[in-house]
Amino acid sequence: MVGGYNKKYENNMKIIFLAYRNWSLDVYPFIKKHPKVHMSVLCKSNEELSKLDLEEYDLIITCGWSDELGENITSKIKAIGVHCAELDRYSYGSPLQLQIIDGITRTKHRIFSFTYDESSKRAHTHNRLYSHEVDLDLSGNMTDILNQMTATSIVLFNRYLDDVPNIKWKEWPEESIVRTKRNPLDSCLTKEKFHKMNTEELYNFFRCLEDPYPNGYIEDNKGILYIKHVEFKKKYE
Amino acid sequence: MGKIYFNVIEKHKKVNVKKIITTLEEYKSYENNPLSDVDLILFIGWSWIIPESFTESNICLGIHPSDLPYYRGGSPLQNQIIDGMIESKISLITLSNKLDAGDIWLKKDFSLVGDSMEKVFENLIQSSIKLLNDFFNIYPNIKPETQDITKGSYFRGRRPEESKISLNDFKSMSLFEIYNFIRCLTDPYPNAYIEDEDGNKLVFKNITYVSSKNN
Repeated sequence: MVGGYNKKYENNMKIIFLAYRNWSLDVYPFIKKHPKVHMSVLCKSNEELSKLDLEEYDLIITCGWSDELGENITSKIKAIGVHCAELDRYSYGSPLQLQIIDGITRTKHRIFSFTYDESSKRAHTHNRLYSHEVDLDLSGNMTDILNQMTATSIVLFNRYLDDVPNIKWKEWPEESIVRTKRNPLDSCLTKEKFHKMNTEELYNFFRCLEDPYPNGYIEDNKGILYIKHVEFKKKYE
Repeated sequence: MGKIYFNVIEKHKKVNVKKIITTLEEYKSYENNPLSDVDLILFIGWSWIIPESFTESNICLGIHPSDLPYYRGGSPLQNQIIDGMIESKISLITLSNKLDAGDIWLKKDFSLVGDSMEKVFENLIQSSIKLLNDFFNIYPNIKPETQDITKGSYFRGRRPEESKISLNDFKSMSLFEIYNFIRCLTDPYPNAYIEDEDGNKLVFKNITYVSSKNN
């Protein structure tokens, strides 16, 4: 079956786990222990993935994977990933940063299905299908959020594997609003912009760009000040 | 930090450490019963006032992180960094009842470079180790010089509320000045912050600066 499962699943799955970020690599040891997983391989790059015979595997699980898988892969093997947004507008890249900058503090972490549609501008998930979801708290610093994403990814992938092959796909509502993927130059704040923002907006801007992302910075004609870590103290009335 | 110094000093061939005091309680037990049979008492990173019973009966030495008589008094690291100083000196002085005004035995170069106070402390440790080793190499063939406190500068210690950068200051200061202000107030000091009109605070924990010259 092209793009689907072609083997019996009970305790016999062969999976490829794609991850390279620290928070997502920590997920792998928990997934390879799932009772249905018979054999697993960890790939940290496209080069490593290209050396595998996809026909020998049942499922690709990606975690924090930035690159598109492309039609060549999605047509040969079922592939899933985790996406950390509830609203369709954040389906185009940089979902964490854009939601935090937009002031969102509670969102969803979801299993999505990789497909390929060259006419779609959505990242990875060119469709809007998701199977499992849990709440994701976007408060705190990036370290807190990424630690939480490690935990929620473990839960999501395990639930998916529990339910496979009886996965029920749902569709999140389409939106006309598009929040486009950020690029490193978007991490710059001019002094003028800085002064127009309140402290909570500044906190959101800088915290969502903490390591491992391109840090938020302010630039003048003599240099660049990178803001690597901030905290926010709200005044209690 | 004190442990690092102790490890270095006790290895010096001229030094026989009679006693190491690391707590205020232990120190107070000696206030009315000064140590005898010691040549020097060395105070490292010591924040408490030293009574005359100590300074009159023993040579008490301390390290002040500035090129004395400049930046005597409180918050010498912060005051130098905010003033834009990059290279300074540390001074080994006799401790007396006048704050940072004692005789100067020896000085060593000290770099104030670093994104955080943790890094500046590392510089301070390295310079202090050199200073103490050189001092003990020369000792007792060394005479201190009287400090001319009619020259130099004196500052009181900074207060936590002075860690606030007003939005107007943020507008008028260069980014390098802002960088210096923030980095000298990284942990363990009261961190730099800006406060908006609602009373909410953005606290700066960790920053770095890249000069355009380096690009």
